[in-house]
Amino acid sequence: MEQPTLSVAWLGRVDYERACSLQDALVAARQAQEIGDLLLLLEHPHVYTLGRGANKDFLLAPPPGVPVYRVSRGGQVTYHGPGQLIAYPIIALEGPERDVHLYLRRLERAIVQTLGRYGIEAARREKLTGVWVGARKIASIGVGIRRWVTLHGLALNVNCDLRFFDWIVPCGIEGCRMTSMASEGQAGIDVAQVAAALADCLGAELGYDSLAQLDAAEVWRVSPTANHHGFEADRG
Amino acid sequence: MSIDITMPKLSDTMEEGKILRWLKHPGDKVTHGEPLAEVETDKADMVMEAFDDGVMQEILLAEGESAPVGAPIARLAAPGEEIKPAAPPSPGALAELAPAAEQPESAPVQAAQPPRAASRPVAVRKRSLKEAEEPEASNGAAPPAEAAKPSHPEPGGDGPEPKAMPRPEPEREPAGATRDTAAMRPASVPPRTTAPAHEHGDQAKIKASPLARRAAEEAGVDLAQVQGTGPEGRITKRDIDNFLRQQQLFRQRRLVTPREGLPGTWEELSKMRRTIAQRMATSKREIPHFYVTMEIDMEEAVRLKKSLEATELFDEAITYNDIVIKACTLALGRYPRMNASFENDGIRIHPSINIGMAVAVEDGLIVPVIKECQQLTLPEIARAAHRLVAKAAQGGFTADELSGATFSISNMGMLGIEHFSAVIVPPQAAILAVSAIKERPVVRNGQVAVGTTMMLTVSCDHRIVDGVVAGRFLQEMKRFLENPASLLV
Repeated sequence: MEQPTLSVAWLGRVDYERACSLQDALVAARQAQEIGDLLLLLEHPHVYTLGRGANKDFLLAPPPGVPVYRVSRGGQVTYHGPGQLIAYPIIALEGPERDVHLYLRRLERAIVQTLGRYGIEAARREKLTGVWVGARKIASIGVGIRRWVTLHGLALNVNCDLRFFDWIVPCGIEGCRMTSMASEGQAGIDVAQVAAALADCLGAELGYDSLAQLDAAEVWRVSPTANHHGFEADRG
Repeated sequence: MSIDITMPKLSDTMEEGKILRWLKHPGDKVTHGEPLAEVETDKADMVMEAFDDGVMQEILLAEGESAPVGAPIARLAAPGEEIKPAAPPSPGALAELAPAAEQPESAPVQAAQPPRAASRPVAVRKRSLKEAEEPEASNGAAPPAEAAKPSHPEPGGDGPEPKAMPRPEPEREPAGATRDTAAMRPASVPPRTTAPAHEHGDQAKIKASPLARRAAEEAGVDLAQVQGTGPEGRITKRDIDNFLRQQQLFRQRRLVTPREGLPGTWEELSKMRRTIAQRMATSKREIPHFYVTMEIDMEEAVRLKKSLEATELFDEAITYNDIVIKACTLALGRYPRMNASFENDGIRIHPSINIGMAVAVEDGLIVPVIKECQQLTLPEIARAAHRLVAKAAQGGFTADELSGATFSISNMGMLGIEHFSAVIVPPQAAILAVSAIKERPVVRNGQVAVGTTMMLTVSCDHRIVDGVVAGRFLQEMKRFLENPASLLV
């Protein structure tokens, strides 16, 4: 019997650029109904990304050796790196789910629940997409939707080096302080561990009955090696 | 004829959107389905696609600028048409958004509007939706609303605003829910039958125990709203707890109002509805159901519940639903074949009793699971059940909490249902349908008397059990419910 199942793949550490082309290929495959709904869980190496229309001033002075990409998404500048859990749901929104804000709120709720499992009380804040612990931001959200198939997603700071955020004005909010699960009293955890909890919460929040583990190799098989055309490398 | 492209509505709560980037520019040929622009709302961006063929004539909203939903953002010239200077949108153009918002299935984005007569050239860059909604005096066109919904007559509507259809107001309570005080409620407290003792009382003047006062303060409860049950109407901590639970129930009621359909429309299935459709169809197709019903005398169970309330033996108020779950667990322990699955042409008898409780939510139902019921006491079952019901109202189940049931219970007592039978949730062997506790004529010692009874119907998979097992299982439930002291052991 067919049931709504979310396939979940842990990809480990993936270059930002490669992750983008992978997502493009998966989105196309999802649109063509060649694959089902999928959740990618991964980590990026150090990278700064600028949204389209992002103010470059918000990237104060990047530390040497960290690439900067301009990405086809909304929002301002953000940082990704080791110790930060990245979740990219590639799912087809259907019927009443075709509501962009509803989707964002569901992602936020899933993050809040995940954090709750670790005893961290987090919340969303009105008008500020993302998840916060008090006034400190712990997770960022930025999604793309292509013919009602989602890409990009969320970044949850697990135990990343928060100093990398000092070089930017995260999300264009001046004085925005970042935090991580490690800084909120969960020093002993790792990204892969939180990934399992997040998958569980995302699956439930997005209305799936069950989760199926998918091998990373299966996921990569869908993706050609072709380079992504949607953003321009802007290494600096 | 030019075609207006308007800011798409990507969410019920979206008011305006920003153009991140135009992917087509004036003079570019546009084919149906081609990406036109990237639109951003909140932290999401979406590629908007063309809905018609044509040539991009004019861009009305620059990159990085925002416009309200429905405002024209670009204009497309029909194929072969000479590109003319900009023409303003007719008032109807904006109203057209309403159907776009209601029919998300029609296209990812309602990118283009049906052609209509263009009117005076005006350099419109950005205009608010409100301005644009008002038909200009010189324009004798029909009111926007009429133009808006040529194919979607609103039932009883006369001149509706060009907005998305209002959601059904979920305030109503299910009929009979409050009147039938003996009705069963899933994980709830008895309904309040009297009005609050103090309508506008001063918090300080209201009699309340210090514990209750503190609890009320912590939870932000106005004591005047709470009915005291202590001596001389004194409010106890328990009254506050009950009040809070009741509030929660009301919130939950808002959620359980089924989605109402709009006559004459077709709607795509949500994931939840699709799951229900697949599961229930599979169940009825593959499982040979049979149904067995028994009337249970609930007089003793009602008394037990009242005495538990009076003695405040447990922190958690015990509901009839909890009592039924406990009795069911005990009966399943004696008839393990009812707690089984049909698997690979064999019967798997489960080692644990995990009971799924069907809970109505908006647009469907979910069946959260109380695990290992055989190890739980009545108050423990109550705590687990209440937690799951509260969660159902707020959302946020983990996959684990929704899976692994070995037996299910569907309770429609709170709706005053006389008797019903439920569809088995595959791969379980059976499901118990619980109806309302009602006063019914009963025969005692050859005399007709007024009794308090409840109907239980169990639906069984005939591949796994036969009528005699189902019957014995119900007899066992009857024994426990009619001698409810057994439930406290």
